[in-house]
Amino acid sequence: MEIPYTTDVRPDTGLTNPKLGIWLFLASEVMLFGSLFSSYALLRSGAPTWPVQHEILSVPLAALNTVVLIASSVTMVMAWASLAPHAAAVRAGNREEEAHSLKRYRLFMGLTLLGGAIFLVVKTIEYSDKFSHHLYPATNNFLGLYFTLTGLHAVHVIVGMIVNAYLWGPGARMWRSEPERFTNRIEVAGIYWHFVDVVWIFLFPVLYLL
Amino acid sequence: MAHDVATQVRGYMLVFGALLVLTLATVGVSYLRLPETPAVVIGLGIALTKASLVAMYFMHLKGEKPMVYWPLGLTAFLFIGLLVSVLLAEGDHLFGTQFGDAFTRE
Amino acid sequence: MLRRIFSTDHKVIGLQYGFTSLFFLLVGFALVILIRWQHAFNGQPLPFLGALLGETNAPGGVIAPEFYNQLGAMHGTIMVFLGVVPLAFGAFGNYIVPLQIGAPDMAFPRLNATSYWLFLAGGLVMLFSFFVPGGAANNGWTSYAPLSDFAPGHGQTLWLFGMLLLIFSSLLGAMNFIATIIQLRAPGMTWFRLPFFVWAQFITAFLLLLAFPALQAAAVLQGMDRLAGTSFFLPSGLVVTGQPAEVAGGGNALLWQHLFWFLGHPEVYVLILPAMGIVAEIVANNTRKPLWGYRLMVLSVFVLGFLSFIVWAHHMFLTGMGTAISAFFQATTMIISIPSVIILSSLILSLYGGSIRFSTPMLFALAFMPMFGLGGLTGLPLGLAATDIPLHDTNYVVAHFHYLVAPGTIFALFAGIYYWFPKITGRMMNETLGRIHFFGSLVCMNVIFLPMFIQGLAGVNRRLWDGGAIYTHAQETISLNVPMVYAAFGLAFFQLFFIINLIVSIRAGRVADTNPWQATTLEWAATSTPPRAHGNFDGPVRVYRDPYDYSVPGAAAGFLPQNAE
Repeated sequence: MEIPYTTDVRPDTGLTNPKLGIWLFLASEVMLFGSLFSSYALLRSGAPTWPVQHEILSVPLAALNTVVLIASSVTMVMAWASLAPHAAAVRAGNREEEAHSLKRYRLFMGLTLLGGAIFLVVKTIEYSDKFSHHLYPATNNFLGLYFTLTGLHAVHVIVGMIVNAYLWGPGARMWRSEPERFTNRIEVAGIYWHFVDVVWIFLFPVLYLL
Repeated sequence: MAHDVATQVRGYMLVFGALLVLTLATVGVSYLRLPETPAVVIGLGIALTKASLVAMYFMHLKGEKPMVYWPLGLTAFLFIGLLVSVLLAEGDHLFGTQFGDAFTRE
Repeated sequence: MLRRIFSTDHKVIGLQYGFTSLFFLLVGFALVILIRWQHAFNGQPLPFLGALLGETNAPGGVIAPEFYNQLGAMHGTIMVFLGVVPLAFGAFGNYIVPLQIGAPDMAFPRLNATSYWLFLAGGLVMLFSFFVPGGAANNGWTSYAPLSDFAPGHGQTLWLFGMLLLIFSSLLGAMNFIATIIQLRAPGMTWFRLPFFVWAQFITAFLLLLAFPALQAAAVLQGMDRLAGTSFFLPSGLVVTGQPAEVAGGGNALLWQHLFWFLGHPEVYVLILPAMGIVAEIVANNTRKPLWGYRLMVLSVFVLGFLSFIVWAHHMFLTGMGTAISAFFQATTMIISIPSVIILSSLILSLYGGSIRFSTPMLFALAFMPMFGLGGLTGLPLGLAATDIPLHDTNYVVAHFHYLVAPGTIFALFAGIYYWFPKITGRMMNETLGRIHFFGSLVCMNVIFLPMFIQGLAGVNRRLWDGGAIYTHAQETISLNVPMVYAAFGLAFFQLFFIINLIVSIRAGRVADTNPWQATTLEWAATSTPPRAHGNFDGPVRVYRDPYDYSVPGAAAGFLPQNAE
């Protein structure tokens, strides 16, 4: 039984179901991180003193992570762009184009995964550095917020990486069987991944620089 | 088709470049150790710009359909509303008041 | 077999939600009967059950205050999050919405199944919490900080974890509903041909999608406070049982309240909107005429949904927020009564000139209207800060919201079950048992909740272990607790008629044809009974008509289904 508009767009809305779905999901994620940012704003503005954030956290490491995550966003959208122009040809049975584009896709998706991995490694270094200096979430609200916000963000990174890894690996079989649907999947996974990047784009100045 | 892709890819690279520049800028500005209000405005302003670039170009939000824009617009409104209301209701220290009105000064 | 348990068919999932939520409604009801008993016979040993509950929960058979608090907190939590919403949204929404819009299933069937299993997991965590040392959460369904931060034992932590599972389930479900309603309407099913039930579910989904994350955030923060020693909700200088709290401090207890109520208020509209949708369907069908003011109702439900996001601090009038902000929330709260009243008035006006069929579903739908009206009107003094001051946290509030949810929403849900039972099973429920269920429940509910207004006006606080016995000002009204508990027993008794009716009718109810209520909407007009397992409809569906083309002159059966050309 086919659900309509899974791959084709519905004419009056111009959308596929997954495209609409991911944006709706991200709307809820905006409210989630928005609530947490609001909590940060309230707690910091209500505090008589607040630690000097950039003296506790490492700005260079976080700046590196920011660049890494942005780069992984670029490679993610490049992964999609490697597939999109070739979907029709693959559907028509062009095996050569299929193999070539799959290779390019895997390269870019692999780089995206690498970027995510580097990000998590740097985060681990940051966290262990804090712990070794006896700086824990319980130490003060700034650190509490830092660990909670970046921790939740890291969970989202991990989930994204699991999805991306699946799409790099066994999920890529769909490139041959349903190329348009696979392309859309990469676009949708990309939109999620870019969102994770956007959250970090706000976390970086708020937690490290201000 | 190949030309379209090339244009698209070039677009992505331009955005990437802009994002790198803005990242550099935001770090650079932070070293100026500006006072709180300008620092927050500039820092969040740059972040908002970067986020918009990612959203518009990487997430293909530019030229997206109204059925996507409406929920997102509502979400943005509600988020701002929550942030502002919580600060107005509880942000006594922010407004220099204590146990009193957000809009009157003691 | 596994495929059937983990089915991705919205009808199966709807029934899974339905049975699970009905079970949880029973559990929640059982908890509150204990509370009612304790209030009426405060300090006396509980017969039979007292021994079963054990020495910790009921020393000497008398319900202990700490256990009483568990009963209170979990009654609210279970009824709202595990009972009413999953039934109204998860069960009815899942089963009926795709059918009413002419869709083969939800937009994301596997996500739909995931939502159900997450819901079940969350529910099991909540139930399990009763059996850990210290028992279940006992800080009110609202879990206010700092009490909930410090609550000993694992009950509160499990509550937080259970809520995270439930919220995630709801978010996925909400996303699914919105995408389905936008994308999978059959050809010809334009927005203003949607049954009002679908509109109600559509708005409800938006409320869940955008409001629940705030509680998710709050639950994460409180989880950190409880498990990682942070002080997000703990101000500096707190002293707990004589000892200064060993936390960093600097937190804000009211932050919890804002985040909780940012969800909490839209949540109550999540409780009522599907109910209004069900009542609307049943009223149109049983008056044999279109709804009065359908477009106005649609507009109102949009406005209601939007406004529901900006009234939340009316739950916090007594927290010292300042008159300007307070005035804002009072204003929005007053304004939100307008779309509510428009919807209720439209339902009532729909009766005028109708050819009313007093079927069991219609009885419940008819009772909904004045009960919802009473509940809504009694909210007005709560929405104005000045009158809220003496009423806040009293039994008046409890009566107010129970009128809306119990003879309000739950009656509508009963109505929906009686109404759609023939579509789901191919058999009718017994009308006589239904009438007994209806009249008994209506009387008992009013005997339970009406006196609570009186107690509240006398200043009797809610959540008191002894029902207020220790207070002089409560003495005049405390005797009301006795008829209330007997009415509660009565209410339990009358549910037996429903439960027996439900179970027996599945096998032995009078066989129904495809459209026993002669309804116009697609689930009756275009599907078999029960609907086809996959794909719902035998062929392509096309919609030509408005949702309630009843009593059309010249029409063969006196009405025109939506898919009739």
